[in-house]
Amino acid sequence: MTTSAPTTQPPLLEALTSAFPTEPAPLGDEVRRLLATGVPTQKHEAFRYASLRKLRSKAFDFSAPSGAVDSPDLFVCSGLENRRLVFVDGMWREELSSLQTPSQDLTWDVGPSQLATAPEHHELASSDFFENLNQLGDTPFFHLQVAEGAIIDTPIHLAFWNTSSEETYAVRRGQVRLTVGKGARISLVTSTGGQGNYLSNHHLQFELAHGAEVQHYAIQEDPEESFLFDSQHVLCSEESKYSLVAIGFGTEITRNRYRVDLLGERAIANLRGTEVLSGQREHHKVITVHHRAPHCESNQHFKTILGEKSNASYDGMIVVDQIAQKTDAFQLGANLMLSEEARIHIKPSLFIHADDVKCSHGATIGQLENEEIHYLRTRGIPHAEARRLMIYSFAAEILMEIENAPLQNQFADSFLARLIRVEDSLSPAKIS
Amino acid sequence: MLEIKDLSISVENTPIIKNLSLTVRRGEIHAIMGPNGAGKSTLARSIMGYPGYEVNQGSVLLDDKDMTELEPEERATSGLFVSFQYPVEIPGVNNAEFLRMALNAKRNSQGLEELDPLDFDDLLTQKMDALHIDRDFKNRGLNEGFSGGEKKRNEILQMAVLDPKFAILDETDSGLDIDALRIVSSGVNQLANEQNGLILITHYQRLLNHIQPDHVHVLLDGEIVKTGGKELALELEEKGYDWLKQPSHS
Repeated sequence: MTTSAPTTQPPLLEALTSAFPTEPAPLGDEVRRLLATGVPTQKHEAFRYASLRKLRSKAFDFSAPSGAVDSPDLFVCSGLENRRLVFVDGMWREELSSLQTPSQDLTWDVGPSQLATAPEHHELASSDFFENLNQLGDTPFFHLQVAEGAIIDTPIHLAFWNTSSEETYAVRRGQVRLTVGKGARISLVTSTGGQGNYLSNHHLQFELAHGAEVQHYAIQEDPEESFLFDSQHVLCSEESKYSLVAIGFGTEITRNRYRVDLLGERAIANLRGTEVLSGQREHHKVITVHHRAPHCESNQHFKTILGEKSNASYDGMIVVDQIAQKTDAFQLGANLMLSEEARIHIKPSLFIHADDVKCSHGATIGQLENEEIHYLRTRGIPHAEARRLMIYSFAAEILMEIENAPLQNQFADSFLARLIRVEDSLSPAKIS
Repeated sequence: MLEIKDLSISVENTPIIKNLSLTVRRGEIHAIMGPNGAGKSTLARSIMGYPGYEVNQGSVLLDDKDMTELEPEERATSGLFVSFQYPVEIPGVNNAEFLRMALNAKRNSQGLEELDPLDFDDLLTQKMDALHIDRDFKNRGLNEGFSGGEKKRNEILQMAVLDPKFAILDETDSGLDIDALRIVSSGVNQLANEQNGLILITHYQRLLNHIQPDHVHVLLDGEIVKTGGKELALELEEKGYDWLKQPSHS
């Protein structure tokens, strides 16, 4: 069976058609499935708030060669210079990586994707277009393994860098699977950035064995014109703990899909993040935390600062299975609007099938308080700086969750630098 | 010299301060007392240019320089300080770092070099020790989770660091227990000297047992209706404010 593509095919599907054959199976089947699903539009609930029409005015290319990477402007973590694994356009680049020798505690390998063949894949499969797009064909794959009982507290830095030399948007796909052995602990930084026009479509899959712990600090610094449709899937076994602190600045469209499956009893997931958005940047979070076992705990806490005509959303779903008694699930989205033209959408949803659980959610939307700014000004702090301090104060609660002090400072510095740019872009009339 | 001349302030078109004049010289301590709603806090806030307060007429002069048209931060760097009745909590902004920013803003305006963190820390430690303030204050967020008494002490610490020419303390005694009142008062007494002037705004005479004013003014309905020495405070304690509302006494 062949599917004839409609004549007014969206550019992303057009690129998909020319990059992947619809025959033979099994790849062909997957391609056809994606073509049949089609690129989502804002009519799809999971994509309601992102301005996906922007994808219609661009051209895409799945096989664009990588651009020059002589000096990628990677996020620099001081003290972690020798602990960096660099990925360019999804591919691990050993020669650019400062961490080159595996150890007993930490090993890695590359090769054909293991994600589709993992036993849990079918049960926990995603129906998300972009997650499925990531898994199509020979996506570059990297498997990082933390040995049982290993303790890696000095963070490992995974730096993702995307390139493109054409006006056409290069679609950059990559997969990283992190498996953390029983009782092991790892601290991890992921940074994303790049040059030129690209659509990033990366997938991270973290699998935590019994009692394993992952501290994940993520920073997205991609150029304004890029599209990010990245996803992350976290699978937590019994008594494991996953903690995320993510900071981001949005792009033309950034859509982060997070899925967390709490599979074993007493597993914990903490997802925290803050974003500061300027111009017409967009940042969308689509989060599903699924409690599949009893006595698990999940916390979501995100704070978004919106300037100018930025647009953000937080679609947070908590699912509690019938078996997942004594679940403790919490979700909070707080938003600070710096401009009348910015837009925020918050959509919490709870699906609770167990009867003995504690679940709550909340959302706040506010503006800077004149009284607070005035207080700072009466101590001699200039108006612009007083505003910045107040905005920083709003996000500080999230940044303070970064347990590694130098890293906390660096994330805070990047955040402040971006904040200054957002504030500078506001006209004086708007900050009176 | 701080001169408030014929000052009239309205808030949302309601006149609150009416033709008020008051002169405070360096080395003097003045107390302004009055019942609730007399306009005491409005006066204090307006001196720093509180947003939304309208100056209908008059001026505030600091050493002959008109403050009325200046931004709050310019008034602060010129040497005015007003302690807040309810200081704002700003989590995540380090108290010591904030104080350094504030002091450096003042030094910048005076053409002085900024203090680096180490020099500032020496200065701050010295001020904190003199005021018997726990050094733990340095590492906390600005007023974050502070008790009422701690906030008031932190205001006095800010005053000590910024070393203003004139300070207005707006109900610094409210909400303080006896011990906290003694600590805050002794801090204020340490800071008062021949080079600065102080206005204490208070409901109660008890603060004036700890800090001796040179002059006491009674504010009623936006006007100063009586001025006297510190014995006036005792008289008010005994008789209340009602007798001053009679036309014969105003």
